[in-house]
Amino acid sequence: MKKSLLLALGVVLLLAAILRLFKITDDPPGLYPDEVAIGYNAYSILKTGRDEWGNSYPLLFRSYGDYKLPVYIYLTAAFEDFLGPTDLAVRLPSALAGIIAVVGSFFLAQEIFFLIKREADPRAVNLYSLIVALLLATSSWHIQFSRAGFEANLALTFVILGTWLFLSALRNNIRFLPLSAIFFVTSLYTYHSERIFVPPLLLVLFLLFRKTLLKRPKIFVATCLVSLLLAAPILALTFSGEGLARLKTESIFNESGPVWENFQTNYLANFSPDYLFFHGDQNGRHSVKKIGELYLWQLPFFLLGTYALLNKRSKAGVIVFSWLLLAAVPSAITRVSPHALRGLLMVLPFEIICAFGLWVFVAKFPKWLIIGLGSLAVYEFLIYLHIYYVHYPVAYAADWEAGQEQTALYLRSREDHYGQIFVHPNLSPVYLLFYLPYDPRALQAANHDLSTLGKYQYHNLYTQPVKADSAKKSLIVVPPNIISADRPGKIREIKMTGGNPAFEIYEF
Amino acid sequence: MSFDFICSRDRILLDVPYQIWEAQSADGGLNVFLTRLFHNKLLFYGSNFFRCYLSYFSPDFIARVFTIFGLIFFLLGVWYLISRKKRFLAILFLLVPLSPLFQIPDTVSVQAGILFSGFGLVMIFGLVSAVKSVLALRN
Repeated sequence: MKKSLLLALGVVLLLAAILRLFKITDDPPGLYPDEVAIGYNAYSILKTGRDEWGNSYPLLFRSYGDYKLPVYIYLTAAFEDFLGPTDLAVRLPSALAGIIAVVGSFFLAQEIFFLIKREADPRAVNLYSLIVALLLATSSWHIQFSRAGFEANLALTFVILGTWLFLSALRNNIRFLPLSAIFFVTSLYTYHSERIFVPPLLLVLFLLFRKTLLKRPKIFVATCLVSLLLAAPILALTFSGEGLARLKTESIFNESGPVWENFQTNYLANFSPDYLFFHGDQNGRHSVKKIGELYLWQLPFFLLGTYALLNKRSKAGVIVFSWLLLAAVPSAITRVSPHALRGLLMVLPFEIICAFGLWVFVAKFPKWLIIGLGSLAVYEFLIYLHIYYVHYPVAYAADWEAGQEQTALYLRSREDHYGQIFVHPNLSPVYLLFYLPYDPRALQAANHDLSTLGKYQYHNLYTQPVKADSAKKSLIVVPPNIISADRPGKIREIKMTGGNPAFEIYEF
Repeated sequence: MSFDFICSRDRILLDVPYQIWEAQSADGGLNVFLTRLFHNKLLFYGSNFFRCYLSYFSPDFIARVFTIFGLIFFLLGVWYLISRKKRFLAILFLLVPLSPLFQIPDTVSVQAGILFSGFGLVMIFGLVSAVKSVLALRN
């Protein structure tokens, strides 16, 4: 690669890294329950080789009964080996995956471009790929999920790398094909959406490149067999009771009304301009809500890119559009739609198409217009950063369960002075487990009984808390507004970011 | 999510004071210049307008008014509209969603009909062009 290209790519990567790592433990303002569960299961695996329920190196983690997929948890375990059970250890894998995805998108974009124009000018290819990488690096959709422990983000990275290696293997050296297969198989073990998305995508890729693939039948058949063998456990588990547990509670088959109509409404909702360009996912953890999943300035380029790409009638168009259309399926067959997390795979085709529109635009239009539009894009990006760093941590603190972590850490620092600590169920046990951290062996030995964790006792709401040893002082943790000011002895009030009370702690 | 709001002039104009008040309160002690830079009338009016305008091109809305055949001819119509550069028809189609701006808010019930006219136009254009192409193939 040329020096100038390396420099440009380096700048994009630096930008991606800053956007994904700056204040990563403070904003989003707390770990949400799934992240904490991932963190504690990873800790448990690291210390005992078993998950919190006592299963030895499981392929599906029972957790809350939602049966989490394994890759993110094992990866977090590796990070916790160095960083301990901390927020950073849970979030870093996702953030790094986000940065790698930006690199991957650069190389994938190159392959896509070569499919459009076989004898392309290297400068054009590099410009196009840099635009794709820059768009993904600054995408609010991708940043949102890179900054917290979301398995979907890691899975997206695997799919990007898998597709890049697949196309690269076909263009350069078919021996890389097995490597691509490994990434695709890993993605199946990482997030639920991929199990619905990857098989049809591979079918599309096979149909497009069947001639090239069948020219080297040995490598092709061997790759297929090995990946089927590697994927067999997860496919078998998908159709077992445990694997279906999540699907049963979440799918549209559980929704009232005709299934096809629900599917259609849910599917199309993923393409509604209101969702994509104005308000985003209405779950406070999935977007900042005040701007869309994509920036509004991207809309004309998305339309231009769609038109230009369709007009080229190349294999690239087939890959990109089938990726886009397939990626909306996972959120369409579940009840909440549009769903930015289950539909995270859509972010890449959107950016690729939009970048193509930009690339066409840059080649055809005068410089002053490009600079004007560029400053508009920067302005919108600054608005996003302002909302993300100023509004978001305050407004959506409750969505991220802010206050749970601070309470658990405060209790940990004071526990030596007290005989017992009575905890109200609003302080979720998994936060205590993770932040104390509670010895996983003890939990496994107690058959995952969460009512008593050493000194900590979850109090039954129907009876008064009674001290076992009346000579020793105890603590009691309750949510605000349960105990009035009549009762003295409040020693601490834990607040969320922005000042709303989360928990009160009394001594008695 | 369903298509849950009918766009009207009021929707674009009357929400803005509240949006500004909300944004100012959320910014709190931030530099006034920055607050003005990130939250101002121009942005709110602009984004409310575009949100309203684009909601008519939302696939949920289009899927609601067409049967599957209607949808096929509509998409064909859009394709021919662009590839054959039918400027006048395209402009008509793109201007129809502006009608709520010029309408008394109480006549919302008529709105749906007016809005559908743009889609209907394109769908019929798609149908006619498709028929013509088929006839051209036979000759």
